[in-house]
Amino acid sequence: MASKEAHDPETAAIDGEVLSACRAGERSAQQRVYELCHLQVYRLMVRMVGLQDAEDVTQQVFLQVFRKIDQFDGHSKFETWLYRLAMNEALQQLRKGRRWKFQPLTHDPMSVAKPEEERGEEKELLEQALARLDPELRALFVLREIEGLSYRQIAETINIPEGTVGSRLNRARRELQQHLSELGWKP
Amino acid sequence: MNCPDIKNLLSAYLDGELADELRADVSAHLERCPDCTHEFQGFEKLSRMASTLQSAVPPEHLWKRIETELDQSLDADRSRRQPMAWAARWFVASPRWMTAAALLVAIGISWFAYQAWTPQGKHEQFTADFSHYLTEFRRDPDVAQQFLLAKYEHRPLLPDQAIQTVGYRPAVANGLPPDYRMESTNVINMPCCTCVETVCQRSDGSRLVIFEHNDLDPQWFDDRPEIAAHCQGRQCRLVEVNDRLAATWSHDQRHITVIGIQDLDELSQLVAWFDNGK
Repeated sequence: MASKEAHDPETAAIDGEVLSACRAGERSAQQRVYELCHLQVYRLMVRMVGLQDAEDVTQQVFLQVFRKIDQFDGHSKFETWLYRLAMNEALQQLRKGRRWKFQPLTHDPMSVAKPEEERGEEKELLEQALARLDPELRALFVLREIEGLSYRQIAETINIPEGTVGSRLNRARRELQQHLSELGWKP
Repeated sequence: MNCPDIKNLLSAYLDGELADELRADVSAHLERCPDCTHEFQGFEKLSRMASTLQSAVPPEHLWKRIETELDQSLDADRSRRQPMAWAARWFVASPRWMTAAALLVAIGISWFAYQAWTPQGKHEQFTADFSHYLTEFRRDPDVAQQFLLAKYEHRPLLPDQAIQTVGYRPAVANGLPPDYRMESTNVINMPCCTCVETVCQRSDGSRLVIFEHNDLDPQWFDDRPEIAAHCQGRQCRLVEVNDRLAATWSHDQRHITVIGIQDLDELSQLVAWFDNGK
């Protein structure tokens, strides 16, 4: 069967010309890459390291992207390569243990309309449960459920065999449910 | 397919990653199995909850910060290149510097070789390897097991056969508590001791590893803080390793160390089980 692939129209706009200019260190090309990808990277970092550190880690991710752009060989999609760099940076940050237990995003800066009370509580609980989840499992859950990546893309991003993605996601979902139950969630 | 097989496929089923035939098998099973259906509905609910999470907006000044950092890197690169070119020219033109550098490299290599060869060096290497194993075990037990077996001489065997190699019948030969399944047993020859290692699977698919060994303190946990606790009348030494417990207690003439324990209840259950099985 055909596997689902997440195609971000923004990152798809990063073509060979932009990448070549980036490799040459052209600032306008670097800015273009940033403009096309920063929402995606920042969103991922908020979920991985927390709102408090997301800005710093996003900055590090883009500095790494521009330093290592020569290493992007085009065998995978640019989006997958970007996710890999971002995830490595986030996991490295978490391993440093500086702020292992990050502050979950309890106040959503994008929320414009007040959600229903119950749904709002559930979101808050999920934020807290995600913060308690092991970072590697959190990465899997976020890449699948929030970024919508296919198992193949997830495997390429975090460098694990594709055949193990499903079983690891089972573990992530079970542990997340357990954390939610401990927080008083009733399915 | 039975329930554990189906449960292993639930995420792939939910995420649309199964081939048609397998997908039909899972669908058919879910129609008649309330237990698996309950777990699947839990996964679906999580998925719906995750879809309601909204995105945060990055601060507007972020590009400026990145740009400043890029400019500073460029300046630093330029200033590094100039003295380096000067140093390179001087280095090539000065045979005395080449001799001194070669001598330093030789001393460095000898020092590291000596460190690795001494008992202290071997011990440090072992504790570093085992620490890596413990960290990896929490992340991916399969990868951790492969790492351990690649590092040390080992022999896979059935628990009953271990007596011929280690001289005792390991505790796991009497079986495991209900809800645990034995995956593999190896006799591993580590620098600290020769031990019987058994990888076990819980009913939810997660793993723990049981080591049986002669020495009380094989120094597996390096300088991680440990606490002593009485558990089912036995004194256990506990170490926290990445949100899980590792525990050692004496059993028969030897010691049992278990890695990947979820909580004290599970530890009590294991201590009681092996005590009763003696």
